[in-house]
Parts: sequence; structure tokens; C-alpha cells
Amino acid sequence: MRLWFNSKLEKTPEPAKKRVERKLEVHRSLALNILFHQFRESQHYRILDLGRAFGQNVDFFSQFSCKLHIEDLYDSLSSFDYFSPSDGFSYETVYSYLLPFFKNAPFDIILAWDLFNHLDRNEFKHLILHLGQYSKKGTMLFTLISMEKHIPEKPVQFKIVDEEHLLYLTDPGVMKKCPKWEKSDLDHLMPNFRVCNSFLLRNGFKEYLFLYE
Amino acid sequence: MWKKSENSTEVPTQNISPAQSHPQPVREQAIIGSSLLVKGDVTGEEDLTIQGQVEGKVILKKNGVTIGKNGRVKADVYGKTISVEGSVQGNLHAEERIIVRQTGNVRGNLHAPRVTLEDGAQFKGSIDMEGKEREKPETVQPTITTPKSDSGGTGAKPQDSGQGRLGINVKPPSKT
Repeated sequence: MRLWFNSKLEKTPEPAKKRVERKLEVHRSLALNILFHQFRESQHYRILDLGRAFGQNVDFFSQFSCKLHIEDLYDSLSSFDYFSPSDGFSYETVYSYLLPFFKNAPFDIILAWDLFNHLDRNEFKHLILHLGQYSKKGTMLFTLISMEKHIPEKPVQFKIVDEEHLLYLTDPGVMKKCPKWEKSDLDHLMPNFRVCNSFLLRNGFKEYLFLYE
Repeated sequence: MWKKSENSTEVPTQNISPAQSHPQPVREQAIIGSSLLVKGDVTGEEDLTIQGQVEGKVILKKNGVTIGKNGRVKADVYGKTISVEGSVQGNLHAEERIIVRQTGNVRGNLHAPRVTLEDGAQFKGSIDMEGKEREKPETVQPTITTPKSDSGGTGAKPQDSGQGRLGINVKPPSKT
């Protein structure tokens, strides 16, 4: 398995590695709450979920009229060994292969969860460029940026409990260095997305709601 | 041993119509065994369990289709109900319901009035949902106010103008 996509993210040096217990925690999500209050019964939405598929999340979205695309991008990238940018393929080629959508049907909502914490600068930048092709004015992007020094090696899995709460499932494993994206980084890496809301949570995450312009 | 036990519970007498007294026809159930590889479309009018491999459409719109734990399908599947325990690379179309079991792995799009993904199921693709009857949403506010984060801390000041781009007014979450 080739982990091309986060090769540049330094792993924590061996002595500093520590095992994390599998954690199940429920946290309030202010940004998600705002997002869900945007839904109108009369409209049909296109939602891109870049996280893992959970029945609980599907059940939650089933109350809305929508087309939900679930892509589990981290998993796709982790198991992706056909070609990579290091083989001379462009990021765009890779992302186009992994996330092929119709450009004439842009998404209304993109749920990136904490994926950006697991991408390096180039991967992040090109993913946003790719997603931009499937966004329209007003597309909202939800993400959680970690403010911690170290994060679990794999993304947290998020289950929607209700409109205001998320269940965090953290897989046990080694910790790695967190890119700790600052607001200035996000402005640079997400040029067409403007911060709509952001909230610093007690659990070390900063929730962002972006609006595509 | 054939003698009815004296202690056995009496079956309550029921009025059974002559039509009901006939034995119910056994529902036809076909199985594609684990050693079988089918290249081509599968059609018919009976329930089907796939334990082997199918590389072709499965079209059983009036029947149940089960892709067993060892089953692998590379094509679209049409059924009344579809249950996936194995793997499918293709779109699933069910008249009633699709269930992706814990061991199931689906790469494709799901089309059904009801979709269930069990915990542990792997799925990548799209699901079309019509939307259930939903509680009437709370009255929305005409403008955004800055919500406090649950850290009580640094909620950035929203920069939007109240009218959400999705066509609804943006409303801050209620404070706990």
C-alpha cells in the first residue's frame, strides 16, 4: 500500500509515539448546527461526504431531500496504489480518478470532516482546486481543523447524533504531527472559499464553515 | 414416539378457509454457489442468493436478491429487495429496500425508497433520498449573530449577510 498522499507529514519520532485508546466522545458541533438549519424542505440538495459511510449519518440525511455522495477519500487514498504524483501523474489526474463527478451538477454541501489534517499542503491545495470544479456560488464546506500538536494517524470517524452533536470515534494507533492549519494557511489553500463561521471547540478542533464564491 | 403427548398444548381452533388450508407454495429460491462464475446477465422470477461471482447484470425486479458473504457482483443489480453481505461494484436498484450488511462492500450508487447501512459496512457512491416527513423547522432569524463556541472562546465573526446561499436564513445554534 502506498501512502503517497501524506508522505510529507512527519510522523512523530519513535520515542514520542504513544498509543491512543479507542475513544468514543460526543461533542457539540456549532458549525454543523448552522449548516443543518440551512436546509429547506422544498429543495433537493447534493451533498458530498468525504468521510466514511455510516448508517447513522445516512439515516440523518434521509430526512432531507438530497443526493448523498459518500467517498471516504482517506480510505481511497490509503489504498490507492495505481499511480501517484511521484510517478509523474498530476494531482488533478489522481483526484479526477478518485472523485469523478458531473461538473454540471455541483454540490450544495461538502463535508470534509477532519480530512485536511491528514493532507500535506500540495494535496490539500489540489483537492480544493478539484472540489472547486464541483462547487457553485454558495456551496458550503464543513471541516474540523485540529489545533493540537499531534493527531491520531487516521482521521476521526464522525457520526451525526443529532443536529447539534457529533460522535467522535478515534481509532487506536500511533500519533503523528498535525499540520495545524492556521487561518492564513486556509485563506491561501482555499482561495475560492470564504470563512462563513468558525468555532474553537474545547476538544482541540476548530470548526469551519466555508462558503464558495 | 408418534403418539401425541398428553401434555402437548392444544392448537387453538381456527376457522380456516379451504383456500387457506392448502399448503402455501414454497417460495422459489435460487443460489449461485461459491464456486460458480457467471459471465452475463441473470434474469428470472425467483429470489436469488449469490455466493459466487457474477459479471453481468442481475435483473430480478420482483424478487429478493442477496449477495452472500462470498458473493461478488460486477454489474448493476435490480431487485425488489437487495441485501449485500459480500461485494458489489455496480449500481443497486431496489423497488423496496437495500440493506448493506456489516460485511458488505459496495462501490456504486443506491436507488431505493429505503436504504440501510449497517455499522461496519463499506460504501462509496451515492444515495438518492426523497426526504422523510420532517418536523417543521424553527423560525429562522433574519440576521446572523455571532454564536459562542462551546469553549466560550473564539467564534469568528460571521461574514455572511443572513440569507444563506442554500436559500434559507442563517441561524446560529441555540446555546446549551
